[in-house]
Amino acid sequence: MAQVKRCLNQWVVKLFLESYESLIGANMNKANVLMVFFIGLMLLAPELVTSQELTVNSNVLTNLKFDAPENLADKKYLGLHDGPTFKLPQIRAKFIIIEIFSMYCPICQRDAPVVNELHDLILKVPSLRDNIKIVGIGVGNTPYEVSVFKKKFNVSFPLIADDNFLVQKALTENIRTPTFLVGKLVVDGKFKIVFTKVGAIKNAGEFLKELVTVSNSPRG
Amino acid sequence: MRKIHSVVVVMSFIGLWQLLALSLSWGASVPADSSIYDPGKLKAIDSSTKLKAGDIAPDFSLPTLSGGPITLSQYLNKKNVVLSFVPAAWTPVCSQQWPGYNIAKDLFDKYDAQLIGISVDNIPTLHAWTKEMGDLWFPVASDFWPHGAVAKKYGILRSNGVSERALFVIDKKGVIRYVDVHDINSMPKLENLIKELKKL
Repeated sequence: MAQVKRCLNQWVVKLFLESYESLIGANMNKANVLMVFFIGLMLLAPELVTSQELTVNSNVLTNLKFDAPENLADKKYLGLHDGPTFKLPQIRAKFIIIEIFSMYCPICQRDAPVVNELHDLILKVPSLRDNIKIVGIGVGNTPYEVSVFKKKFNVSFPLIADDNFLVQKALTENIRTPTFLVGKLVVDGKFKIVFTKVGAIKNAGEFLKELVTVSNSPRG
Repeated sequence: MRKIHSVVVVMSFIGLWQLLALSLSWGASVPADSSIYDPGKLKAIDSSTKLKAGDIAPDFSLPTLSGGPITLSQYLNKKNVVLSFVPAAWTPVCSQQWPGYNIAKDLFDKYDAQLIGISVDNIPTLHAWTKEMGDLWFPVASDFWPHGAVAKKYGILRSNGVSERALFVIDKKGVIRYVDVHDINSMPKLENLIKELKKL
């Protein structure tokens, strides 16, 4: 079993390294670099459009206070100290994937297994596990409603209730669920949003690859 | 000539690339709830029901999505019933309320309750709309014709012909135990409904 796990780890790491290499264009001739550049441009263009439709105010998001999860395992995972509330940058990680979802949202329900898979992928690679944490924010949901979603889809990462639509304050547009925000910790107590995605992930591996690319780029 | 030719080739490549980028961007930037119509903020409640806890629930029979009609009295002495009236298909809150109940079947089962969804939309509209929600475990009834007759019977037909967002909990004896004519703009909290089921 351990061997299978190790193999999987190696495979995932190899996948990332390959994606880095193709993006950096290491050991490639001029034509290949150009080709990669144009393919990259083509792939990136729609993503930029996606990002443009969502404006996130990192400062506002940084200062929102959410109720801390009651579950001890969740608290430990996020690295939170005791206290009834917490702010997102207090989460002990370099990158935080924030899934804004709702228990009532059918797209979020359909995407739940994919987000679980994303979490599993992250847990499998130690370097990712220690640096990336996922937290779900149930917008307009009570703790009870969030717990129904968590139980139904066996969600192993923490889900936070946001009954008062606090997270809406950080967005200029109406929230559409699911929305994924990736925050990067810049200094203690502050983070900035480096990546946004509106709509379902659909493919956990692709999303993670994209995320790793962003986290290693200068804009990340 | 060759120069023009290469310019044309380059231009068509750029055109193709832009077309591809645009088509992909439509795919990528489609809002999570793209088919949903936003009616804006509405008057919270636009009717006044005389029904209250303790009253006998008015009986009705309505066609359902699965074909056959559903009659309230068929559940007499068998199951508790929750009627969930929603105002209209393809609107923001309504499009999420039933999917929420759809993942809470265990809770309805726990309290021996049958959920019935009702809207004044016609069957084809309800068919297309609920298909987006995934497979619903509960029947969806159409109160389309005579238009909103059941909603009217329950005193929750709004002046523009849609029903309120309302929940009625009816016990096995056919007695109404809980009425929540909710602000049309917001979602009733699931735990409030479950709390009422627990009391039965």
